[in-house]
Amino acid sequence: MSKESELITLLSQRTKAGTQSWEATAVDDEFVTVVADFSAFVRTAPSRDRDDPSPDVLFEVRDKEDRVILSIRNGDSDIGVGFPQLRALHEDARRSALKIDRALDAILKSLK
Amino acid sequence: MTAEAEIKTVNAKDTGRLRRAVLSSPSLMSTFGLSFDITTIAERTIRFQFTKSDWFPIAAALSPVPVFALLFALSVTRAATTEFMKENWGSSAGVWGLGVTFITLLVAQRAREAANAAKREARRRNLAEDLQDAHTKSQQVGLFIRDAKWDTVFLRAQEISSACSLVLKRWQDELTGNSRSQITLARDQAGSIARVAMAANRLPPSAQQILNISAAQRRMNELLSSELGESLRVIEGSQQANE
Repeated sequence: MSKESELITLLSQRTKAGTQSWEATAVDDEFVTVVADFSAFVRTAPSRDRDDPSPDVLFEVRDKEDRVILSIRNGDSDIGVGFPQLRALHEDARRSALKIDRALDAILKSLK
Repeated sequence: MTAEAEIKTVNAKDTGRLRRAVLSSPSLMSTFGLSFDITTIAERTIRFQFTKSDWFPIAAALSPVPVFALLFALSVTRAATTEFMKENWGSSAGVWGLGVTFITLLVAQRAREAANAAKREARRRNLAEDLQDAHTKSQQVGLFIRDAKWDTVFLRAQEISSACSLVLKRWQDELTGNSRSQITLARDQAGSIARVAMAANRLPPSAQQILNISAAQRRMNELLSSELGESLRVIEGSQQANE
């Protein structure tokens, strides 16, 4: 497993466990989290593939000087990062940023 | 009297009045002496006063004096004390000198600690000023978003992002891990606002995009307020500790 793939897997795991929180930014459908002075961004973008209208998923890591040090669009077979992995991370980030689980828990609690 | 002559008379009167005020008021002191024709800042006279920390070393250094004075004053011990001092004056002076040296070292150590604390506080103040500047700009971004001035939003957001990067780099040692994360998040929010504002300049943003950018601005403001508050709390804490 490459370091990039491991990073995305760990981010997903920690987000699901609730130990890594994400925040929505001013850009549509973009979420950010900070890990050890680095910022990880995940967002969707209009598809570049004419045959597949589903949006692309972009993952970026920026350093302290705000430089992009890692950028993956829709996965990269050379480093073992697939599109489903990125899409799952984006979904986890969205749930964390919008606090969907907490909202659902509150709604369910009030209904029971 | 011509207008020019009138101005000169008024200036001369003002200068004389200022000099008289400085001379008559014991609480005002100029840093330039008396031969001046420029306005100086009134400073409080610093009066020499002993503090608790000054009294301790002085009392410790002079502590043998009352003991010997008492021994010389009492007729019972006077002869023995005189004899002892005649034979051991060198040793006594040596012991006293050693004590004074030890106290001097102690005082110097305390002075160094106080100087370091003052330096840390000054650095914290500079950090608070940088954060205050970013916070003020963040509030201005809110106003410019309301007025849809996207050019200015873009510029201000870029400035905030740069200010946060500067704080992260310059105050690396002063900031805790949590503070670094908060400021990094504020910088990321500012960067995202700048990206949206740049695009909005060409194509007016949708209602949803305006909601997103407003939420990002509020979050950025919240993060910077929190860090500014934390920084001011540390300064006030160190001031109270010094008092």
